[in-house]
Amino acid sequence: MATLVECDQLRHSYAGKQVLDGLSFQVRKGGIYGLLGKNGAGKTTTINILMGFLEPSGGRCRVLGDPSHRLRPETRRKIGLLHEGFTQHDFMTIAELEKFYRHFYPHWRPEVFTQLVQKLQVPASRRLSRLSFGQRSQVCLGLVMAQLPELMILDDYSMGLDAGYRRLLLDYLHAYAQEHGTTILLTSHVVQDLERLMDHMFIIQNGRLLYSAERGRFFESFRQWRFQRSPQSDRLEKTDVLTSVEHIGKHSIVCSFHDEAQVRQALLQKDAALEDWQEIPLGFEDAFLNLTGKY
Amino acid sequence: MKNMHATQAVRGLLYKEWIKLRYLGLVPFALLLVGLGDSFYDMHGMKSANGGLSLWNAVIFRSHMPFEPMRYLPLFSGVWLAAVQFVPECFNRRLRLFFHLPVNEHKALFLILGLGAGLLSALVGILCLAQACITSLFMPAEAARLSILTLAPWCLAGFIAYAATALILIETSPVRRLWHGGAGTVFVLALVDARGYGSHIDGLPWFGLIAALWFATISNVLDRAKRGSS
Repeated sequence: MATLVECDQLRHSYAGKQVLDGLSFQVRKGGIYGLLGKNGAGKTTTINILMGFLEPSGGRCRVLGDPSHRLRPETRRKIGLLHEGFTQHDFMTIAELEKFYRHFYPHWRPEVFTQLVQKLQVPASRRLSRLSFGQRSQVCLGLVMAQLPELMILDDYSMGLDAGYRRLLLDYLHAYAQEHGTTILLTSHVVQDLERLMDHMFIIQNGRLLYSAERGRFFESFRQWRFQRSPQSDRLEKTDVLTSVEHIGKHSIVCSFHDEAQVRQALLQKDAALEDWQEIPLGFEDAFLNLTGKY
Repeated sequence: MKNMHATQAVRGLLYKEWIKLRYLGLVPFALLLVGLGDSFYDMHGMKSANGGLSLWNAVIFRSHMPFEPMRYLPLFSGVWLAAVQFVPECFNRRLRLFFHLPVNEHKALFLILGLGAGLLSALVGILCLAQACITSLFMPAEAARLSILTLAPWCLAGFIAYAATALILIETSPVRRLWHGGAGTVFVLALVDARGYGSHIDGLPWFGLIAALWFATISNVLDRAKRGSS
């Protein structure tokens, strides 16, 4: 399977602060990839490097075979980019935006744009600056979809959107990816909607890849247990086996990628009494937060 | 195929410039009409009220310029056209939209600049031609020629102002913006502050060269903006 995006040991810093610290990942053709992380994890810097808006201070990044900081126009034509905050030309109307962008993309599909925008029930003569944030997101997504890109990159698609518009956007994306086989790489710090959508996820933290897995593998391998809190359990710290340790009320909660027997053994070695031991099912957001930390 | 893409891309870029300029781009031309009307009525009024001798007297001995209100018109037009073209491109990270278009960004930039400079050329062309015609209605051809030579540095100031404004808007570093603004102001003031007929005629080729350098610099600034736009 062809590799569309290849980042190898990416490094970048702003004013002495290391934002990316050896980040490596690959996006292969087909499927929806999520680049997830909390605020400040390095997601936007990664996208900026991918799109050639920043030259990394170290490492290598190739997009559709081109070095990311020297993307040729032919390569850019194959990449649909949804900019963070739905940045677009505000001075144009919906119709003018469609007419403008169609000149640059030979496979432009006006009906894809029209179908999406018609649902907004606003006239095509309305300026983008006069649309709500949610409506604007639909127009911007329509412009990217109509390009029929080989690779679609959505930078923090969820920013500023309420739950309804987030769901709408993801439903369209899902259907579109299935119909056209487009590879999608998206970033978001709102993860609860992504569980059903993503085929593969990269979780980054402090500029490094923390975890990478296919859909389903995350839940198979990452589990959570709860037991009675005690002075011994209060002294527990994160280890290779215990990915997260938390104490809430009368309970201590641990998460791990290891199996139950290994976790119990690790806890017993620390003299923790495992009274009232039980496994707690993990939702995607809980799992994400337990992995990356709440603070 | 490549040529077809390029032609389509040029059409797309021209379409966007048309949207930006279709109304706001007319403002300098409207001011030009007002200025030319003022110049005509100034000369016409002076000649009608006090006779041709009075007009000659004012022009030759008092260096009176009937087209004086046009001194700052090319300068204003340069700043205005650059702002109309580049403010919507450069603010709120919109330069990224430009950088992501599947076109060579330098060629696209020079197309935009060429269009703006072309409009400015049309404006100063009409200004010089119309003013020469107005002058020749009341005075001999030599005076018309001299009025064009007087207008020329003001027109050149318009091109430097256009390039400097574009440069300031594309630039991402505040310090460099200040530098471009300061340097642009020095050259522009030197050109528009000239008093009397035919000032700066000898230095015009040098100022022309400076204007060309301002335009050439924009390409480098665009590169820097792209590499560091965050």
